Amino acid sequence: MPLLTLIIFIPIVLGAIASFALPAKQVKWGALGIAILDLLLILFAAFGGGYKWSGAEKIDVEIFGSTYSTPFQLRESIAWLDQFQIAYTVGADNLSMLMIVLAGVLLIFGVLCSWNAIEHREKEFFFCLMALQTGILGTFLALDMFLFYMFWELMLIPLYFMVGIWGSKNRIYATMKFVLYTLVGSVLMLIAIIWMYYNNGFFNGAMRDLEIVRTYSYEVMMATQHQAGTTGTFASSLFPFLALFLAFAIKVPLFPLHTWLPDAHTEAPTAGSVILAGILLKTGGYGIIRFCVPLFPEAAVSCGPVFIWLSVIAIIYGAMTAIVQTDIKRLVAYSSVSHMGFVILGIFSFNSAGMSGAILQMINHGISTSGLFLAVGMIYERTHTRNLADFGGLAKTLPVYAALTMVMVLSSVGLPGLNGFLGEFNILLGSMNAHPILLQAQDESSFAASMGMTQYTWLVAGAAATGVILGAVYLLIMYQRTFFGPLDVEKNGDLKDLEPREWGQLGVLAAAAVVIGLAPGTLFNAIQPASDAALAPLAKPLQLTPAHIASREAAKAVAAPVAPAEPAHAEPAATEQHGEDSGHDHAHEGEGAHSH
Amino acid sequence: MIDYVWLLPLIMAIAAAINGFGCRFLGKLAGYIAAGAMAVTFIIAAAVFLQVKNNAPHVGHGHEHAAGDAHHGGADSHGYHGTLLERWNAADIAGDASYKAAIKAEHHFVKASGQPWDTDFREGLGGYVPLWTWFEIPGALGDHDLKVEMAFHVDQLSSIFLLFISFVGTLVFVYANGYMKEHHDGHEVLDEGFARFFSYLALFAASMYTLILGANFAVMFIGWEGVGLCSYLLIGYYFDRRFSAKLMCADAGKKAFVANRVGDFGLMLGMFLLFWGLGTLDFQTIISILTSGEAPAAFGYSGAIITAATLLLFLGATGKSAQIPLFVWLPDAMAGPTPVSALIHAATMVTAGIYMLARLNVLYMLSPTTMLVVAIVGGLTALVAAFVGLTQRGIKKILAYSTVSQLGYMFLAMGVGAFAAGVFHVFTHAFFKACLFLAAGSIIHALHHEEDVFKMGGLKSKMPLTFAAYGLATLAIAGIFPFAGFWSKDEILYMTYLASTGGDKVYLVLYIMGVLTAAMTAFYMGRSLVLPFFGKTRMEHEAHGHDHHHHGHDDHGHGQDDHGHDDHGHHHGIPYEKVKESSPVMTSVLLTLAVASCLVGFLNVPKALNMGFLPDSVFHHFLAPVTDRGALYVASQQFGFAETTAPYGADVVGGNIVDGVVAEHSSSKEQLMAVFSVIVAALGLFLAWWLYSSGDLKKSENLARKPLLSSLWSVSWNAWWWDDIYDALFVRGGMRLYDAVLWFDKTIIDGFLVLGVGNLCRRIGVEFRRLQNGQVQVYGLVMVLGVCLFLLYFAIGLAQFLGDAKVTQKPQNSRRVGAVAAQVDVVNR
Repeated sequence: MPLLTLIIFIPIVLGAIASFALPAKQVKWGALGIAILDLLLILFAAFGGGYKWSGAEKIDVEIFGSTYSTPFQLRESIAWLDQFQIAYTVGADNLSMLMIVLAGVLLIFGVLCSWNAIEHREKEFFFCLMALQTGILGTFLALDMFLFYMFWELMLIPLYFMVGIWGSKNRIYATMKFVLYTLVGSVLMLIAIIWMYYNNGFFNGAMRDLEIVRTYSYEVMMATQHQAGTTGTFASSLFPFLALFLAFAIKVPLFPLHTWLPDAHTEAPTAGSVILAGILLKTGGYGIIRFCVPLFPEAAVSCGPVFIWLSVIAIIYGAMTAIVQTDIKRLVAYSSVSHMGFVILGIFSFNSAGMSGAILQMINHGISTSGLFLAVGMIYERTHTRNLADFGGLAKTLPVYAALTMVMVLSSVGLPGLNGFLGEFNILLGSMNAHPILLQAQDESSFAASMGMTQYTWLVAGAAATGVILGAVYLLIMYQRTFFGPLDVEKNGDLKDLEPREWGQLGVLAAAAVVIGLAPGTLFNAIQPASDAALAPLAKPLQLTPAHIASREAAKAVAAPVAPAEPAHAEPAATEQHGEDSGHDHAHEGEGAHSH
Repeated sequence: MIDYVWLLPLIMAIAAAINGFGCRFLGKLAGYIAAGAMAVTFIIAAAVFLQVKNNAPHVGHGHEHAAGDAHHGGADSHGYHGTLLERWNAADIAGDASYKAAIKAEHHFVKASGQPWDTDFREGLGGYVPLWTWFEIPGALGDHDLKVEMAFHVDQLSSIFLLFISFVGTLVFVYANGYMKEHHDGHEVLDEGFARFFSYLALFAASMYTLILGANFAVMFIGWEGVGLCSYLLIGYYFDRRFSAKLMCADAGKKAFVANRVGDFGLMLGMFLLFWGLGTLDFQTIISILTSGEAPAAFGYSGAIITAATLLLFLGATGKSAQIPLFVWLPDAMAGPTPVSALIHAATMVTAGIYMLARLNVLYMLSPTTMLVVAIVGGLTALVAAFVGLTQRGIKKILAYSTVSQLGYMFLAMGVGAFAAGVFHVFTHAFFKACLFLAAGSIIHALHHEEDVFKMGGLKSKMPLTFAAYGLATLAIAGIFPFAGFWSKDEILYMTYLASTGGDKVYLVLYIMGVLTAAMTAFYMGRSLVLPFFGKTRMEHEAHGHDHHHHGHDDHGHGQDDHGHDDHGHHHGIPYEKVKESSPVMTSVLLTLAVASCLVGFLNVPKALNMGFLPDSVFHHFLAPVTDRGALYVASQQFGFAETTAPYGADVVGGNIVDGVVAEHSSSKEQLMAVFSVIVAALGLFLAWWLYSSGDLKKSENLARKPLLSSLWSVSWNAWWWDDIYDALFVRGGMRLYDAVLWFDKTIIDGFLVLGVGNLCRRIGVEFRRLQNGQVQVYGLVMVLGVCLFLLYFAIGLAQFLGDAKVTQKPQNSRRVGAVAAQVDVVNR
């Protein structure tokens, strides 16, 4: 059974049928059915036994006549445009599996929160939602760059209509901005993909005796890269890497490419915001982890410090701008800039803590920010305003709503015991020890060095951690202005508390936040192979030189102990011994990683 | 019982959940559920404590464990002298593993779960209770695996904390049952959010237990932030009310949370630093590594990283325990209901910082720089806060500053290396401060939310039980012999003095500051006792009616104690004649705590002062295996002391070694200093009596108008303008910065760059559109131009072709051909 294909296309196909067949008022039921069916299929794919989460074994597959080994499971491949070496290929690994589970769950919320909010053109709306879902799922599952690009563009169109038709006042401006902005990235991505087609095997300037296999197949590219090794300089791969990265960074969005987000979020209908924040932004992070880093490890390492600093700026900048917002949706949108900055920071820390944290942070952000947008949507439906000044004292009239929103806020704040903490904790921990090779830009030709950047990991971790303080500030300000204080606006006294459909949504997300927060073991087990896979190609460019080992040891032993009093207990000797030992360890580790 | 210690947070969390979900229909039951749950946890905590106590070796003088009796006095068969700890220490230094093994076997040093300890017993006894693996990242930082277990750890230190937290907690919960309801015309009315209140309170207790029990930084951090959250919720409990002219109650809650977050920022970074260097977050493992002599150099004595890490962790402690520079949240935290103040801001949460330092005493002892910083911050906070307390008018505000000040004492103790003395002050303080707060709550409750001591007076006869409790607790905090505060505070002062005998004058200054603080404490506490209870009342009398009832003190400009809970429906004070003693539920709690305030001091009477009546320093001896570990390690490793006197943490104070013999035997000096302390305290109390006992405020007001005194008064009344400075710097300054960033975002990034690019494209489009103007002539012109260019291009190409035809062209190598050629080249060689 072509399970993944079914999962991808069920929403758009059945969505089209439902829109035609059902009366306008009933389409939502159809959409709900489709969303549930799709989620069941996703869950079946993920946990039905066919998929191995351990992610250890690879299988051999034939792609365009040659045999390659691939880590992807549930693979489906159909010949498509053979003359261009394009095939319809989809498959999943842990990273994509986690993402599609998240996407499947959030689609249901997308439908539910539109239940009463969409009052005209229901057919078109739900069809757009379903088409969007197909684009998203396809993006996460495509294993062919050309196919990936098609799904990537497919995500754009439905959202364009969703914001443009069902958005609020300033929707046309917002949707145009969103589409144009994203298109710039898409065009760059397309160019990069074509470059990759022509230069497969030479991404990192490896001039080896290799068969050039011109292809759009991601698996072949990875295999060729692995074969070619990555001995070249970063320069040859800088362009395609940056072009791809730019496309993904716009989606994430990374400072300073973020300004489309607040507009799009603010104007989008609730479902749009939920899907946009919950899952669409993750396609950016996914792309970086899936394509940018493993395909161009040399370039990724040499640009790493730049992106680390940009992400730190994003974390602080997003938080600071969030503090002074007056529109709740805008506030949450800017908080996304801050939170997604953590994701980039984690990825480019190039260690397991950072990468796992980044993947977890994507999931956590999907939960908490979707929750916040759902919550905003619920109050907007009741009051038709999102202005903080129009609220206050709602805790009295809407206690259930207040309590559930509190959980989402706390998850977003990163309270330990809830999910948000684990992502931020590991990312900060990882950034504090961003790979030692980043301690100094490794050579003069590196991109980061040319930007005059070196890496002070302490500073990075310290600066990023201030985001944790600022996060508490803007979220508590938001919560306080909405729920606390006297009931400023009279008519807010008559508001009805949540109905089951509504508290059900927030309740599920809140429960997820608690469960992940307290017992994330299974999730971490699922994330680990994904994180390892993303980091494996980096082993070579990150290989430690003696100089790096020395600098690291020096960092650890900044100050020798002051001369101790008489009986020194032979301590210094022991320390020296230790230093040497760990030096060996590092060198060994580097070798080991290489030989994998 | 230790194995079931997870019941403590669990029971309270369940109680919180029941109250939270059932807040609509539980009614009065909510209070019973919470208090009942808390009482159960007290019983469990007591059982845990007893188990730890029975397991623990009595390392004190003459109180050996039964099995150790054979070794007591004189040298044992191996030739070791002294107490168990001393013998252990000597064996340790001599590298006598077999003797250590013998001691271990003899004393059954096993974990509660049955596995033997793999490190020596000085880490304290008790149990490590792993529940599940919280999260695990193999190779998290390349060379360290990150494995964080959801695990609890019980030893002497945590069992003491559990004991008094659950005890005071239970009493506060019971008291809250009485406090959170009002009596109207004979029937009682529950506070609006009664169940919500008890839900928060129970959640707070659960978090506090987690904080104390956490076996590693991450689990402790759950509790650490959890208590922060609960205090946020509880301070902002009256979320729709105004706390002062400037602040809503919810603002005060937010302030507390954010100030705590600043501290947590430091805590997190410190934690990361330790993990970075040592590869673990587990307390005992960290301590084992540090004392194993195998830690990296930067983690050794005076190491740079250990100093940085401990300073960052200390920032966390200043947040939670309200020290300079983060103490500003605590005075405003009084916006919460009084039981909250008692529980959170006196007995439990604010002691978390002390707990952490005591828990990590080995780390702190390794960094003399940090220790000095801790001592200075502690001493300074004690003085600064006590000075503010002198003039405040809100009774809770006075108590709040007094809490900050007392916490300063505790940090002073930590800073001079007297960890056990610091913890003992935490212990005694929990009783008398909770008593003071609850008694103040009793007054406030009886006076219908009047908190200004200037508007009270003469309540002694109206509320005799409250008066008795408040009076006893005041004597305790003032440091009058033989009440609890005397013993604990005097110990700290003496330790500080001992530190100065090492020759470092800083400690002498700190000692003087400590004594000054003691005098001020006695004065302002005496003032807060005399003003409400003695003299003729300044309250209204029944005959006067309510017409010109005063409310708020805006004439003071700062409205600091304008605690008018305006919406409460009781904004008319009640006349003096109608004041009634609080309900028995409340007064019984007060009296229990008052009795405790009198007695608990006897638990730690130093040898010099006990005159042979009491076993000396029981408390300290019990804690010594945990709290003196750092001192012992540093003394033996760094200063080469083979045999240190075990029970005194002050062996290494302020980086100087103090001869343990001095500490043990300078009885006369210690006695003299104790007498001096009492005299100072008595003077303070007397001054307060002399100024205020008449009930007439003229005397004090005249005094405050004297030239020098008036400016001092102003500094004190305005709390050093600390709040205003922070407000200007961080709140308003911050907002200005954020506005600037937003402007930058709108104008530069979005406006100039993004829309700029967009407009540029549009502009180009507009220019090109001009060409499409429909005039045939223009099209014709363009066509002609195009044709010309085309021809020119061909002409040039033709000319080039003809010119180059003679030169043989090199074939253009494709990359691949080049690569293959190179390869062939290699092969040919």
